[in-house]
Amino acid sequence: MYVYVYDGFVTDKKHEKLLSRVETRLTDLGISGRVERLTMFKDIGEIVADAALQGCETIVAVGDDGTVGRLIDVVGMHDMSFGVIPIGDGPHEIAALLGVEEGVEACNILSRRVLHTVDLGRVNDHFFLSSVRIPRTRAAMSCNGQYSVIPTEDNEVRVCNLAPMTVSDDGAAAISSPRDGFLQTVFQPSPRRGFFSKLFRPAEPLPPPTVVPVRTLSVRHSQPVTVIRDGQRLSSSVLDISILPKRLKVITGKTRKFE
Amino acid sequence: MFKNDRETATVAHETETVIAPSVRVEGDFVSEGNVRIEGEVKGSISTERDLVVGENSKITAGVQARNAVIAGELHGNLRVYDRLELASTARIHGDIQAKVLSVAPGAMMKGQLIIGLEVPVQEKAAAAASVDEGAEGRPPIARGPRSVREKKIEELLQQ
Repeated sequence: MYVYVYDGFVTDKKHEKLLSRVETRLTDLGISGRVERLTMFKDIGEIVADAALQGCETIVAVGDDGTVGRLIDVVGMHDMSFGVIPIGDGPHEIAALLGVEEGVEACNILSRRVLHTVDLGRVNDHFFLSSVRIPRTRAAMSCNGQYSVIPTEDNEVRVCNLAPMTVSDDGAAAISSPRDGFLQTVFQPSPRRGFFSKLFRPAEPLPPPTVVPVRTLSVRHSQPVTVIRDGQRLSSSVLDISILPKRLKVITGKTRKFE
Repeated sequence: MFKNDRETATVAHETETVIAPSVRVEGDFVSEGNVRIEGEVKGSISTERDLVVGENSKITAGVQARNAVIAGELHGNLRVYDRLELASTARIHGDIQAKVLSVAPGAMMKGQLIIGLEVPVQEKAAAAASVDEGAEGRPPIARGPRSVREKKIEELLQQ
């Protein structure tokens, strides 16, 4: 049984034609299912729990990265496969990393049902599939309970499960593997540029980042900071991040960015 | 942003640690993959694979690795189970144990050398204990054919 969770914007008039084609294609392929629409008054936790009770095997996020982030946060607690149909203006980075193309082609990928079991990240009481982004900080980060990484200057920190980590000189993005049991933590120092140099000098390449694979990461800030988890905001002064190996089955396409 | 071929994905598949100059690491750093250090580390470093220490890095730690290339400053004992290369900019203050040692002209070492002995990986703890013992408890230094490199190392030790 399939359950399709539509984000609120998907039913906008500008996506009407595409959504109609998607629904027709799903019916043609024999994988149509129950449709749930996310609204302000619906609790996504209840939607997923209800689907699990009714024997839902596959839950599909219809929308963008934000939709995926909201759904992953609750799907991580249940035993069901996860798919995505990218619709809308985006961003669709997570779908691209899973090799799922936008629109009708995503239906064919769902139908082929190539499943991969991937790790899931956890930050405090929330799950994430792609990454957690911590804004510029100098806070010490305790890794695996064994050592600390202390930025000596402002660094943006990205804790990546399935996300681009670094970009090489030829523009190719190195993607973290969501099947290796590690979260790749990237400390990217900000380029030192003043106001005038920003205006008049060409952009310089970013300083080299620190990349540390970890299983657990703890950060304590003196004040709450807002981090971005799969496109969702989370505000806390305490961040306890860990990995749950082989926790989620995801439907992937041929162009997925991991082995 | 992303390339369609799968090659981009495989680039990062291998677990590798990079410590850049913008951070400092303190504590017992343990890795299962290759490690490249360009910043500062205090505590201990242990990896089952290769270690590269950059020219501007500063390490105050005991170090264990399978292979190592050192071009920076190290205060602490260094134990390498296979091949150790010291670049011309290397500054080592501590004892060195390695199966094979390569030293570039200009490298500086201050400590004792045990070169040429097989150090089984599963006996790391025992090896560590033997290094930390006094001179009487040390295993004898292997006396193979004396090469120019070995003579140079001995000269450095006598200085």
